[in-house]
Amino acid sequence: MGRPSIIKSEIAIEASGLTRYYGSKPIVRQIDFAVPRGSVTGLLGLNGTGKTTTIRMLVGLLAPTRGRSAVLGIDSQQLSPSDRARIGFAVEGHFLYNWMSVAACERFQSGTFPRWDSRLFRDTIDRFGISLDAKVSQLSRGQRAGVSLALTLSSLPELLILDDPALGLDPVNRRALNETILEFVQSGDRTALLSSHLLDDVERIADRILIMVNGRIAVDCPLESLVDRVSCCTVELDDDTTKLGQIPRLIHARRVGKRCVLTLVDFDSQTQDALQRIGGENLSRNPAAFDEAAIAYLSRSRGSESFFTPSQP
Amino acid sequence: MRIRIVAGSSAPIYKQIVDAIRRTIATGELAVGETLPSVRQLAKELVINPNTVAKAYAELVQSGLVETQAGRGFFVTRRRCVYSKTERMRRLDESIQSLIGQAIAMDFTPDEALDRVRELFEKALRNPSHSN
Amino acid sequence: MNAYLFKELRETARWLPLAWLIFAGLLYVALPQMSNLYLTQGLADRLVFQTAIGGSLVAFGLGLAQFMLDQRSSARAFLVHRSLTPSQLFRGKLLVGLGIYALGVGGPLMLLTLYLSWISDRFPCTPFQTIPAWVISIFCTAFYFAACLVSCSNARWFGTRCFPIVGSILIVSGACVILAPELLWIVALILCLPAFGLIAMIRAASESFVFASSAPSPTANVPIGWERRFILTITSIAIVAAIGGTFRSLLTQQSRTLSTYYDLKIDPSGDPNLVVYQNTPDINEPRKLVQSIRYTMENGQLLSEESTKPNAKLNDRSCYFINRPKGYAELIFQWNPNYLGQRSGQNYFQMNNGFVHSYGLSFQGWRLDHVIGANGMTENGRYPSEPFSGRVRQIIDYGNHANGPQPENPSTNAIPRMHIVDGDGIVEIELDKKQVRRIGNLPGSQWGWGTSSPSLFQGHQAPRYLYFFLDQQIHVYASTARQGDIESVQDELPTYKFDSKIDVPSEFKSGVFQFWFGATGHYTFFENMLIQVENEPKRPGYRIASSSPGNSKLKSYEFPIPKSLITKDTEVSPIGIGLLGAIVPPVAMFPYAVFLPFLGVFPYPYYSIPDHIGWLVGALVLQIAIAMILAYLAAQQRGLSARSRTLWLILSALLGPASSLAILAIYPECFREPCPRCDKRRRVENELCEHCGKAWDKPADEGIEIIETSSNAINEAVLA
Repeated sequence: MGRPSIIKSEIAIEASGLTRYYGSKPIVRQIDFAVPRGSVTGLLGLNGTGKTTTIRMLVGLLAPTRGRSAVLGIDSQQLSPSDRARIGFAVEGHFLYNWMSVAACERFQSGTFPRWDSRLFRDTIDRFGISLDAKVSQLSRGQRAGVSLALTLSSLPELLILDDPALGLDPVNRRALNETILEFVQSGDRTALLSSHLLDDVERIADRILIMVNGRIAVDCPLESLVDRVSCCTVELDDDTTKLGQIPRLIHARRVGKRCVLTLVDFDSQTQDALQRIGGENLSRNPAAFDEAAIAYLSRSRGSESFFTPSQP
Repeated sequence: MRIRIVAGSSAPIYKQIVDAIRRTIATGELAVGETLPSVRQLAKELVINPNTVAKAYAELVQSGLVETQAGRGFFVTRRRCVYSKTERMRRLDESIQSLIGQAIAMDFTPDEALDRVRELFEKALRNPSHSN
Repeated sequence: MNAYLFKELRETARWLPLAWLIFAGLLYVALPQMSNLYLTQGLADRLVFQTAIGGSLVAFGLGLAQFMLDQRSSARAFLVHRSLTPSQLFRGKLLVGLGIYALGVGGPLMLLTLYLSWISDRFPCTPFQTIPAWVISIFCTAFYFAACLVSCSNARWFGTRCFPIVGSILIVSGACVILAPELLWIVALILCLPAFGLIAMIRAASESFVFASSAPSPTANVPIGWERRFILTITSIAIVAAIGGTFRSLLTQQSRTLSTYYDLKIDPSGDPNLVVYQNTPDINEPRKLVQSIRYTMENGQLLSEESTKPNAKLNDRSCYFINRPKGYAELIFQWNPNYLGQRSGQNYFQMNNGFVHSYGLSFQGWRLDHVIGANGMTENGRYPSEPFSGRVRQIIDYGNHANGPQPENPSTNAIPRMHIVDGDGIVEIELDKKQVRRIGNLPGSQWGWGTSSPSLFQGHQAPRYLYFFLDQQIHVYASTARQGDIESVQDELPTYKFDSKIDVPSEFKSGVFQFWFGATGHYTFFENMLIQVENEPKRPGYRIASSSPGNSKLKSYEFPIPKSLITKDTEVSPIGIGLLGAIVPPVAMFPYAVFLPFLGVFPYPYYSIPDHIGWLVGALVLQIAIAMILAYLAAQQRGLSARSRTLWLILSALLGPASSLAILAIYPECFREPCPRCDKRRRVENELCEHCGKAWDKPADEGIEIIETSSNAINEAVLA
């Protein structure tokens, strides 16, 4: 992979030059990343920027246009049934067969996976307040998520990949979800990758962060590194926004009245000088909170200028 | 000992834990020799990643407030010097600035405010368990 | 695996009642209905037709129910990520789907078979009549696999996605050759073709399910097996041929064929004359004699007066079916008892035991009314205790009251008269009076007649001549009805007077003696033998043929019809010829238009180089040129390698423009981007540029990346 600091067996998921086009447009553009074993990694990205596509490619449900990826050391497109048994994958939207009861879901899942922990399934179901006899069509969103999660965990996978598991969940179920994921990862040599929009929850439970911006990986680091290296500055700025181009490593600029809130990486003396040159008086600099840092990256989207979003009229 | 963390605040979670434990040690709520909750236990209670708790504990160990021993877990050490002198002053100044700002906004005179400070300070020293 | 099978079963079984409704409903329609009987050929044929429709619908519906729903991206993700290979998943679906199909289609068919065997002693049917339907129901599963291919395909809906349906239609239609049961072993051989197609479909469906990504192309390394290529190519050809054929038939205007027909007439000197008639629109003179060619017999050879060269040849030709096993004829009859027709609510069937059964249709179905033999009639379903002396050889007619006076009480009195031939002559049976009388004591063992159509006589005109083969001679009897007097031949069979005799060469021993002419093949039945003479559209002629029981040779005399008459029969326009050359795939055209003439064999209706051959050749060349250009363009668009492109160019010269459609259907779309080094457009799924070999550049960093991939060991020491 070209990263000498990593020993192969320590990597649970890796991607190298992974690319996916839809038609003539690339959605995922030659991404490289590695998820170490034992970690909980949060994958952030705006809707439609390729998160689900990447996850599908990692699990071998979608073939890449170019490049390759591997999970647990095995090429994603060559996963055998026994390999799949080691990977727990929760489909986004918590897909379940509507005609099944929860017990039937368990029978179906346990019948198609080699290992099954029935007690774990029931405990998880209880935690979400679901009864075994309930029909899937009658469950609420949060309960469906609970069943989906229970199904994924009870096959005792080594690697957990969850695509937007907290979508539409109420706060109680969200806490249950976080508890369950944390417990599960801690209970063995397990790794988790989950994509989410809920930054608070990601901050709680993730060790590492991956942020996808415009089909590329912009951030792949431990959570505290992100927080340490990103800082926020507020400057007084007139309407001339082109000056912002001189600021090195500017992630995003957001205008608030007459001021501009700048989010930067690796603030150093060079940055300081550049800020002063553009008339940055009233400089106040703080380390960024996690969600501020994450949102700044996510705000860099294609279609707008790369680092500046105009204020609301 | 009740530690609360707020996700999404400007302080990283581990920092919030460090600060909370420092406060409890500083006020004496957590006595010397008392054990901290284990990493897993605290993580479970707060519903956060244990690595975050571990990092907080690591920093506490590094700053000398807390020690770890095999079999005993983490416990508070004798040294009560939690902060350096400048750090202590800085933190006090922070709180004082906040108080002054409030007092001015409420139209208190300095004497009124200072009297009140003295009153409450002495009360807290008499009843350490009531401080937060 | 069992849990998965159970899930499939539970999801698919709910369609079973609907399948039963559709299929059983169609089968019910197939059972004999009073008014439609004369339109259909027989129960076996109707069942095949209904099964083909119903089985295909059920199979297609089941396939869609199983595969389409699980192709939605979340559903597929949920299904595939299991400790089962996609092949196992496919096989599981197959097992359940075909099992439900077997129940849905086989169930009603089995019930019908049992019903038929229950009533077969009372009604003219046997359970064997369902055999062709069973065979077709197997081939209808092609639609199940077509549904899988349609669901799992990555093509666009309005593009080539539905092509496999055309493939299934071809397979099922090809399997309908089962309707020609006379040629059983040839049918079995021909069925290998649709069977091959079915196997190709199964394998193609398996491949498409296993490799279905839940998003369209481009994707690296999606395998396309030969099965999918084959099916898509064949369906492309079929689609283009269908479009072209429709186009052609809409555009071509063929001049009205003046229908010409021929007859054999014995002239007063006893020599056969080939007379050529042509229909005219004139009511008073509906046909006019165009030509009369006289043949004389000299030295065992028939010569026409038109030339001194003998142009009637003794032709040894093997008969196909003499060496069949015994009981074969009965078997065929069992599939389709010979239906004679319907009169006044009664339906007449000629059974192979020589009797004629008359059935009426009542509320419960068919009811045997009476049985007719040469000795008369019996009542209600009992066979006479001994068969009559001569078998019913043929029915001349069974009622010709169509234009005559109507009976008073249609339901009881309008029982037709029937004229049958047995070993001793012609017998007339008046069914209402239950009278039998012998009209002609013409003791020939075989007989034939000359009329404009050799098929079963339907009742307006009595034959003008009757021919009896007796003692090495053909006795000719002429009708005494006045020539052209239609009414006098309508009410009764006219009496026949001896007219003349023809000496027939001694090779003609006892056997079948049959007259026919024209371009129709003909069946005739005699004792336990079935003789079929091969269709010879290339050589319409008038032929006397005979064979003997146990003799494997068929001998015939031919009276070929002069070419000049034939070629004037139909006119073909140059546009028609040209369109033929433009539409038919060249590979089919080559033998048709190129090789056969070299062998001296000209296809009907062209006995020589056809007119307007220039148009044909020109259109053919144009077609090949256009096909190759289109194929080249399609191959370029789909980014085929040079080798594939060349192969397809060759193929396009043989298959016509259908090949470019096949290329577009088989290969996925191709997307290209400019290469950073050589600036030419290169395919996005290749790592290296096909022009300059450069790999892709990494997209430029924007400077704000934070990449720290380090191990997680830092905290392991502190975890309690």
